[in-house]
Amino acid sequence: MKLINYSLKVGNNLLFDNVNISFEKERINHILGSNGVGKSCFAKSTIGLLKYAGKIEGDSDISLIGSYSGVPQDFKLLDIRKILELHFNSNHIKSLCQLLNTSSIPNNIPIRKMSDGQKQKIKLLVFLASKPETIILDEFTSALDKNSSLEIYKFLNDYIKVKGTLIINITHNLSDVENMPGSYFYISNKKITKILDKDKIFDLYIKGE
Amino acid sequence: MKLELKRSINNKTYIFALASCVLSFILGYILLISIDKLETVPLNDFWFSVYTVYTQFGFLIFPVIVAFVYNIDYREKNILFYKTLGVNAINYYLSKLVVIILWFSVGTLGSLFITSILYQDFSNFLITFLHFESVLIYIILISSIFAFILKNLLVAFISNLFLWILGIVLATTNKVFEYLCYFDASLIRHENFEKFLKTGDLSYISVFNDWIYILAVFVIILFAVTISKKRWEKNGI
Repeated sequence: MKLINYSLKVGNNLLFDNVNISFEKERINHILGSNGVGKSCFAKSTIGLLKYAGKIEGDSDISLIGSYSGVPQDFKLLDIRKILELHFNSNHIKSLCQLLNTSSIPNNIPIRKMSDGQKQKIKLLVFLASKPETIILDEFTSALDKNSSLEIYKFLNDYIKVKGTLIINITHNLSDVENMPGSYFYISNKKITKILDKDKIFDLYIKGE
Repeated sequence: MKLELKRSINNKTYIFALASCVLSFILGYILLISIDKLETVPLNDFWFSVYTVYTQFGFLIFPVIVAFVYNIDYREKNILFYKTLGVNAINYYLSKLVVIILWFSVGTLGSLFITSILYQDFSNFLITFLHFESVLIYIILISSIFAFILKNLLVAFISNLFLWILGIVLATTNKVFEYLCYFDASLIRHENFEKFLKTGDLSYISVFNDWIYILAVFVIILFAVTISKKRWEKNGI
């Protein structure tokens, strides 16, 4: 995915100004930045929910997974599997279930009664069912405990090896960066800057600029 | 459609829809006994009383369930889920609408059927059902469009009531505004249905006109849904 002269204004607030940057395929591209710099707005703009200026190359098949991409809580895992197998390739759904280890989730309880970790697994199952070329995760592990996060890290690391997609991970959780190797980007002063070194992005994020 | 049917069963919406129809019938009966002081309740009087409950209290009872059905997806942020499955705003609106109408219709039809069996009288069954159904669909159509467009459940419910009351008020000033409260008990249509139930004279009723009206309302609402696609996304993302 490539941003060309990308600018984003929400209300009177200019969040991004003439950004030119590429995100790498077959890698997890971590994006960090302070609150309010426009990370979630950037994510929403990639699927056309917010109007932007400039161009986003490779925005035709994006799956956005965040707090605003819910799955109906009254469904059970079994319902979800049936619906997905009806709409998408059933072999892909089965392989996703294996990778996500959904066998550990009870089939017959509604999603609303599941733990946060189980809910996030269901979200991944749903939003990756269409085999999207690009996956954008927005604060995906923020509500998870350590064990659930580690399971998600393992899944995403395996998924990217098997499927070779591009993943953009918008996060405040440095544990994401530590446990999922990839590329690092930092948002400040209305720009997105690529940071070559993991330690440097830790420094930037913790100490500020 | 199948998906919405499954959801309505999982989240017990169907129970609330069926129960609200049964409660309307019970209320219709109680009103006859308590207000009209009838000792024996003839079937046609009973049905007319329930019909009055549908037209007068319908806007207070049914829209709560209708608003819930749409609003739950805005609250749970489920619109991207539907988009992932290839469901667009119109499919989404219509599939929910069909399921809502289905459960309310089952409740109404079942209640009419049971009362017909109890009274062993099916003579006005079909015409009465069509009258009940037209009121029901009208209320569901109006409340569903507010629920679809407005993110806030309370605002959707109040807007719906506001339109209904505004229609009644305006109808007293000019006959043209009767179209805003077409089935209201203050209008001639309601009185004519009572005359039909008492006399069995078909010249009092206008089922065809009622359904043409419903069709016109549906077309307007479908247009409103079509131009509200972006709003649908914003409401639920």
